Amino acid sequence: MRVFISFAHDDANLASRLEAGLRSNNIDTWSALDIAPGEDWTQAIDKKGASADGYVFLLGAGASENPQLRAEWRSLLRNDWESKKPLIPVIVEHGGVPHDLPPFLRNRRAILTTNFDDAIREVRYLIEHPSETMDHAHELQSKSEWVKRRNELMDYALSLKQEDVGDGEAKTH
Amino acid sequence: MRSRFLLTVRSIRNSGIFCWLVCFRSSLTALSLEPREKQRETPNRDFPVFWQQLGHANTPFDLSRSRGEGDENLARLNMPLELGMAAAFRFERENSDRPHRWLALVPEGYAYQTFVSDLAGFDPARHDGTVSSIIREVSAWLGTQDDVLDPVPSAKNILQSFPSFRNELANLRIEALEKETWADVLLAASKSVPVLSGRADLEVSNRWVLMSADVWQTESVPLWI
Repeated sequence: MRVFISFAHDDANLASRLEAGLRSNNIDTWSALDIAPGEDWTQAIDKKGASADGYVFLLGAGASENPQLRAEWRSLLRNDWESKKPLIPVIVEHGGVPHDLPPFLRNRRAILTTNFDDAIREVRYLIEHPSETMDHAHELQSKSEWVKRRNELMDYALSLKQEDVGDGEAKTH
Repeated sequence: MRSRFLLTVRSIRNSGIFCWLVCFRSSLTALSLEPREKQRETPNRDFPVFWQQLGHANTPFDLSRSRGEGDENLARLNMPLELGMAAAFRFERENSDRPHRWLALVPEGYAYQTFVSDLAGFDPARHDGTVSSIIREVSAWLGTQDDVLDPVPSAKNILQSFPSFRNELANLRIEALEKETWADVLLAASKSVPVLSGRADLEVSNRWVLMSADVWQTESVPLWI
């Protein structure tokens, strides 16, 4: 089991502690801290992300606005396009928590780092039980949201069609 | 008779459009470049340029097409200009209430990735000319954006729904005598938004899986053939 840890520069110390904690629990980890000097960052993230069995996302305030972090997330999502790998958001509480999770993590159970040892245990549990990473209450919400989106599109399409018909009739006259 | 080339281009364009329609709620600008090397390999042949600029959610995507011109088969200069505009708008509108977001899709293995990254500090998405790669890249990008469906459908959800969208659109195109409108595209998408939960949906899902296997076979055609 190998876990990829994604973090912003400000959270490097916490990422290092998390790596150490998981490794002491016999879970192999990889993060940007392991990139060798001179190694291509993009290629390394892509390659290690592809070979990882699960991803842990350390999320502090402003994480969603961090362009480098977003690029890293895109790379990881690309490597998990079938949504088979466990995605585990870990909310870092320093100077304020993120007001919202990035969209691709909103249907996942988030872990708070209030108690670091508990957080390690929870991460380990979720890695070993991937189906538990889903926030099922939030998943249920998806049905109504997607139906709503479908109806929005259909209503708008039909209104445009109506306009097209109106324009055609106007030209005819 | 429509060529296989055109069909492929249309499918790839539509896959990006479909991702956006399914997931996104606000404005989007997306852009894709074709490799200059390919222009040289295909003299005097049309090459597609995806230039999809959406001022707001209801503006249709536009597929503009350029042709290599002159003895050196040079591309028209609209693409660098438009790319520059997209990059400039992105910075100009940063932190405003009308952010300008765009995605550059570049083919695997060409220098455009370095070029675009150097130009705008932006890592372009890579595709291999297949529908699945476009959906994978666009949905990965959408998953990190605001104003998407919550939770955002996965690339797999969208890929499974794409055959339905394609078939709906093909039927509407026939009805419209090959002159389908943006309303037809929206209508086809509205009938294909993935709604996967419960037993009935699972059965539908299984059918879509079979259909998506068909996509892999028929759409995995090189962009340049």
